[in-house]
Amino acid sequence: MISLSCTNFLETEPTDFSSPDDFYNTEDQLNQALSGVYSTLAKDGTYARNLPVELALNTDEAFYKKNFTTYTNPAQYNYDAATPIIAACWKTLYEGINRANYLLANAHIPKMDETKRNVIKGEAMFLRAYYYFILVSMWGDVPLILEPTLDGKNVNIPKTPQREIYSFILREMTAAQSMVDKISDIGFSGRASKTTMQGILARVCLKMAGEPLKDVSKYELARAWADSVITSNEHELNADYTQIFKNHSSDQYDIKESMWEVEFWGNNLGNAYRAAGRIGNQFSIRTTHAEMYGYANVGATKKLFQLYTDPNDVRRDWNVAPFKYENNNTLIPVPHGPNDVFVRDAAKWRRDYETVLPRNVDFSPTNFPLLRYADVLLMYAEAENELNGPSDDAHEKLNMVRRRANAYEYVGANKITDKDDFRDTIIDERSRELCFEGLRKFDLIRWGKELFLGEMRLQQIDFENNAPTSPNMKEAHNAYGRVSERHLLFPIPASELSINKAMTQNKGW
Amino acid sequence: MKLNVFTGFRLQPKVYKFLLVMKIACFILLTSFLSVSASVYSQKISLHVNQATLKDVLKSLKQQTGYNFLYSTDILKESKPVSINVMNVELTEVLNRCFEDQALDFTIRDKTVVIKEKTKMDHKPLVQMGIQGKVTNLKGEPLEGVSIRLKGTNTYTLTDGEGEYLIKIPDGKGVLIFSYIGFTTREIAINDKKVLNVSLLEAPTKLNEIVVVGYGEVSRKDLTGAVGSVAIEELQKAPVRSFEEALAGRVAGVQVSSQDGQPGSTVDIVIRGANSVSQSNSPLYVIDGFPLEDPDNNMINPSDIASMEILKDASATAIYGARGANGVVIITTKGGVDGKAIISYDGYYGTQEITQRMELMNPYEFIKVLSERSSSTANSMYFAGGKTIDDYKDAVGFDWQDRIFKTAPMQNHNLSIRGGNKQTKYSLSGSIFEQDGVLINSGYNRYQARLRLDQQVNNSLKLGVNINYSGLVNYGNSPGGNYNAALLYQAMAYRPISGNPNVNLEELEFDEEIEDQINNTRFNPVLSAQNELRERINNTLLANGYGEYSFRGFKLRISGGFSKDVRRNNTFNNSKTRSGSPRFPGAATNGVNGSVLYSEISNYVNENTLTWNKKVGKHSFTALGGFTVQGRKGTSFGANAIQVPNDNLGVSGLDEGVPNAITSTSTSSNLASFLGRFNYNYKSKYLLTASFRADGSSKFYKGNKWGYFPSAAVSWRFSQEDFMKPLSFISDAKLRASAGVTGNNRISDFAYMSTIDMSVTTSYPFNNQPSNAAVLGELRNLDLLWESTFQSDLGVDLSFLKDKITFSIDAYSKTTNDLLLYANLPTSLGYSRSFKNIGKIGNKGLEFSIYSMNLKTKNFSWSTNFNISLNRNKVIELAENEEVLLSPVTWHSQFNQLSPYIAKIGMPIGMFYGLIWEGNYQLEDFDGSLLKSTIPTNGDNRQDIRPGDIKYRDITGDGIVNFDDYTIIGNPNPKHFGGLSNNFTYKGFDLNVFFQWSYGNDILNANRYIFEGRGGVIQNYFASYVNRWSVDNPTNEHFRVGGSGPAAYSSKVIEDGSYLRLKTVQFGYSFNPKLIKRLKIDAIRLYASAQNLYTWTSYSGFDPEVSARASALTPGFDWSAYPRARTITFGLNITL
Repeated sequence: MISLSCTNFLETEPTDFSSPDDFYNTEDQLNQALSGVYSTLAKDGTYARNLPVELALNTDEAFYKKNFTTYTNPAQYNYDAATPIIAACWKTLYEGINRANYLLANAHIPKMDETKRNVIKGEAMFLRAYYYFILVSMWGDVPLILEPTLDGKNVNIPKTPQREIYSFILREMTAAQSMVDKISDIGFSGRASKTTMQGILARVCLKMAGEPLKDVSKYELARAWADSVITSNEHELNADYTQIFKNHSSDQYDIKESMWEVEFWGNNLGNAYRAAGRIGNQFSIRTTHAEMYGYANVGATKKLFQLYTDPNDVRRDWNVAPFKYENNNTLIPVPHGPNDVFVRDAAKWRRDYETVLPRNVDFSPTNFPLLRYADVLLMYAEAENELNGPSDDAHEKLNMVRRRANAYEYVGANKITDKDDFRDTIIDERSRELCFEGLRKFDLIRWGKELFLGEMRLQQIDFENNAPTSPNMKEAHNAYGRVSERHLLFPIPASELSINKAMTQNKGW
Repeated sequence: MKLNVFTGFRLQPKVYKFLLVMKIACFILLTSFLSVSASVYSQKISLHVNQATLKDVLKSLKQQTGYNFLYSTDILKESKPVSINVMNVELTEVLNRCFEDQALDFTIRDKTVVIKEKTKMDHKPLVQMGIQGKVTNLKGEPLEGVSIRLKGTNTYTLTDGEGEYLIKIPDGKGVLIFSYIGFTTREIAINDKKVLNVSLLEAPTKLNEIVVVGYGEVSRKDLTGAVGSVAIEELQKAPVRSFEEALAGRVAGVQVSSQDGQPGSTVDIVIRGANSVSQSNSPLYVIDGFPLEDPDNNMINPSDIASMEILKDASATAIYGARGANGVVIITTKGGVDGKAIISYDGYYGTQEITQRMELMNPYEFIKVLSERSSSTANSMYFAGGKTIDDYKDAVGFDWQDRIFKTAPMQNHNLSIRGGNKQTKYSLSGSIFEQDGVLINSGYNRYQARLRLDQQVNNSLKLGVNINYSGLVNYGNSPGGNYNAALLYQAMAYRPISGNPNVNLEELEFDEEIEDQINNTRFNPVLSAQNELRERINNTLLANGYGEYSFRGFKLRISGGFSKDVRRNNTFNNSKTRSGSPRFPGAATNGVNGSVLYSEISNYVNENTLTWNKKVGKHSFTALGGFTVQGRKGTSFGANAIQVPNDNLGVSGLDEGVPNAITSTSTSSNLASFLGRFNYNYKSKYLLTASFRADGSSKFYKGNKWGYFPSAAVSWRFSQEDFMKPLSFISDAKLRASAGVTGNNRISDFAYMSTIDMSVTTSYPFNNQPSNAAVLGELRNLDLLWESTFQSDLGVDLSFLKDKITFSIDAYSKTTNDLLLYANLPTSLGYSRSFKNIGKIGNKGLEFSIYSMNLKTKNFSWSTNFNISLNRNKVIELAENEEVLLSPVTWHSQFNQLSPYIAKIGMPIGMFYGLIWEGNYQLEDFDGSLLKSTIPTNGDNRQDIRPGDIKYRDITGDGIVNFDDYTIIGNPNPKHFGGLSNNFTYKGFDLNVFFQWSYGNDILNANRYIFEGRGGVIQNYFASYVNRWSVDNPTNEHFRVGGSGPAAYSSKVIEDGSYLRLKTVQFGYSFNPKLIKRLKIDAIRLYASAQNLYTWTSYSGFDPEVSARASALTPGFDWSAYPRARTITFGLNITL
């Protein structure tokens, strides 16, 4: 008798949380779990901050503009395996992967419409593959885990060769894009649509065709996926380049151009939701004015400014701030002098266009673009050039992007005849069009380590010889000077390495 | 993938089997008790006679007991009349008293008492002019080794093993002195007697004092385990709110450290070193029999405490099983007394003040640093209109410490009435305690009442209740927030002077002259502190009741208890506070804001124990068996609001603001236990204790719920052995040895389960609408088990010179296995931590305690208590593959990512970790303006390093100082700690002086990072920073302005935290009772008390007893800690 009552007495049930064993039972719960997989995109470790800022800067187009000195600042190539920001990115991505693993392992449970179930599964599969794509681009070989983590017993998890991971990504995204909705049916840019997945597939293929795999057979596939986006009739360029980014700040969607965005919302004030990001204040023009605080952590390089060889190109004075605020603490713009080419702030996203008031010093509602139609066009042009040289087709896609920006087109006498020249033009054009969108370092590395290291060296020299003397310029110069071959990959975080004995450190770290 | 694999479980074979075994064991135990009890003479006698005949007395005894008395009437004729006055005592005891002076003897067989003439000592030759007899204790047990001396002569003898003696007396006259250790000496006139049987009374000495242990009590001489008793009357001399504040240094092996000096701040009590790495190391508290893991000890009025015992070794703690590994503190409150009601008032009033201030720079030095740091700022703020630095030579500035610290009153009033009769005893007490903090707008109040009733219903049944209610109000902001949010930082860093003579900084709400300094001091810290509402209200009820039924050598005790803590935290920031002002950029967007958080914790317990006592000749046995259940429930609910329109309503106006986050939680856990203990005692010479507890907890998954905790101890009082006889100066000597296993279950109630969180903070805003997002929270571990500690202890207790000096030494060794470690995981699993039973910690130590009655004359006495403890802690194993565990500390954004603590295998848990500081770069380290290539950098770029910059040791020798050069730079654990207490009395005066110390522990004084060079641009610094590097002053002490290098922990701010504190002094005078008798007052005593009177230390901060981020992994960190006050009070104690 005692034994029976005792057994019950010691069986308490939690009243404050759900356990995964009792979750995933309804369609609503699957959707909540899917939101959980998406929310990985909006963490500080990923796109709320680290991926577009700390882990993407000091390229030939942008640099970290603070002279804040600590031993570790990845934005200034000052880091090692113990650097928390790098560990946070790794951890956040794997958390998202585990959330997707749980969802996919349980997606069969609810009774629901199969098409809807497939959409949920497709998005989860795609996101999981996308997170692996970021991991493999940044770290090379990483553990490929596709089952939910049920306990912490096995801590020794070996790396999977990146070639296998890439083929997993291709396979998975290819399957996913056939399961999900068109963007015109979704109606906003926060969900990964069929064409979004196709566009990202083109990006994956271009990466595979470039370094380190150099699987040039993938150019064909890259062009094919880009082509399927272009021929879907779902997308077109926004006639006003600047409007794309004003939309990001003001909670407007443009599903034609801005195909996939990380969604941020609100200002983390006045309600309990914490859904705001940091794009607005990190990329802002510097001011400490209470209405519109901007840290201006990102500076545009002289090179970027000068890439806009056409004075009519609207992109220059939108992406690179043509003015600063008087005394850094007002909202009175003062134009930069024509030779102030090192000190201009990145200005692609401007806090004036934020409609959520008051503006929080530290948080903003500005969405961050993960894929734009212009990128798909440039990817098409790049792949076509690699396959067939500077064809009319390649030119047309390039010119579509330039035409919209009011820059001169490569037509007639301007037409590029040499394949290498066309590639160089693409390299520049991607910076002109896509600067600050977290792609440059990724692009430079896939185009080859010589290009990447060479550009870093050129920047070092340019800053050393031409930049004005100030602590932040000096720090930027030092940052470029630190770059070496080991920076092609990030170090495996110490938090992983110290416990996972099957793990090995990347070369040079 | 199978998630539901565990749903099929039904019965736990292990549990079932255990219960079966318990049942059988109980049955066997019970039947054997019953068969034995038939022969026990356990009748209790009450007898009140004066000069009655022995015959009448025996008649009365026969009536009361039903025993037969066999004797021939003749032999009673010679008997002497008997006077006896006893209540509820054993038959043998009464008989002993009756026959003490008779020439008769008795024996008891079955239920028959046979009375005969005393044997004529046939086996010994009868000596003329001699006297013989038997010496026993009150229970009739013979005492061996009693010394019998003929007064005024050297004639003496000792009793033999049967308690018998024979002594030659020349003339049949004189007085015999019977003396025996632990007993009151008796002098008896011979008066021509030939036979003199004597019983001796146990003296109330330390050896006989009753020590409360788990589920019972025992006299100290029969103790087998390591149990420290707090000298409670000494502790009660300290003018403090809670016993925790006065406990440090009182008992060997108990390390007490409070986080800082704030009224009500957490006190960490660690017994014999930290066992657990990531979990709580605090002991289990047993308050009047009610085991509680995390009571708010402020609810107990220290003067209600009757006794306090600290159970230290496994033999003592294993009876508390899964909660015993961190030691057990047993607190018993005062009960009523038999006799007339005693009404007592005790009250004191006094003041507290801080013992020292930090010396800050004067205006001149402050402006000098500012102009070195930023000449443009200095120019615009201080040198307008052609002023120069010299104009500030004699300027007088504010010391903001004057404004935030104050002399604070403190008062306490206790009123109690205690009384009763033989059946009913009652105790009713109440108290009011009010303490202002030395920091403005902080303090602690307690309003408390307690009732205890004990009722003897009849000879076998006793009932009682004990109820305590406390209302606690703790208010005031904690000064130790992050960097510039910390109140002490704001006050000390605030600029001492304005450049504008028309500006009175003290009256300003907001310092507008400082531009663009979001991270600096601009909001008036005094104003902010005065207007912030931080209120923690705790209403606690603790109620216990018991019934005790005694029958035939058994005692059944059933008790129940209930406790409830209802807590309410109120926070409100009005527009005149830093966090609510529209003027402050960081706060502007929230506006006036506040929150209320309610939480409730309730505990209930039911304990049932059966104790059996049996004495067979010189062998005595005690057995205890029991079953207990305990449950705990916790809930909380809270809400906060921002942009509250009405400043004046406080938290009542939160409903008018914009609702923000809501907190809502609930949890529960249950514990069921079986326990047993067996004691064997042979003549208090050989003692054995064995105990066992089985704990079943809801905190673990099926199959792991039950944990088993055995222990055993032996002790040998070798002073009772013949070979010790010649060493008569040793009055008692005991050797103790024990070993056992105890557990620790301090994890959250459902730590074994995986969780899914769905919080508004993890939502994802699809289409500009936040939608609920379910994310994985904690990772389960179904294998989770109790953390178990194996401890062995070897102790020696010695008493010298009739207990005038007692001495104890204990050596112990503990190994904690299966640590409940919140272990790091490889984050590729998607989780960064989970609970695991992994890792191993060792503690070894020595403890000494000495009590000495140095002098005792009619008018003067002096006694001393001294103890010292040494503990060595070692990490033996961490999580899988893990060699080191680094622990960051949150206090400053530049430092938060760095770890000043390391737990490394083979070292103590929380060692300081950082760079070795080597002064400053000097001019000779440079070639021109560039640092020589042979000299390592400090982490800054070589070309940026200037003379006067901070310099560290390059351990790796790679020319660059970075993380690789981190090493162990200090040890926060003391080499030894202890206390020394002296009590003096002279006529009506009494004086207690108590010292407490800690030696060899290091402190990381993070204040010095900020106040010796690394602060904001416009802030004041410690005066010590005047001695900084310049071309004219090439010191190695402090770096130049701007020469701080990258943020790094280093040995520069590691300081020796050793201290010796004159902790408590009380001086009192009691009026002569004869003088006050006519006032119908029994006693009046006046006294003065002081706490923290003086501290000897080389530590440069406010106080060396500090641990602002206290945990086993991060001890001894000082950042903006609330300074400890010196308290001086005057009191009055009246007893009616």
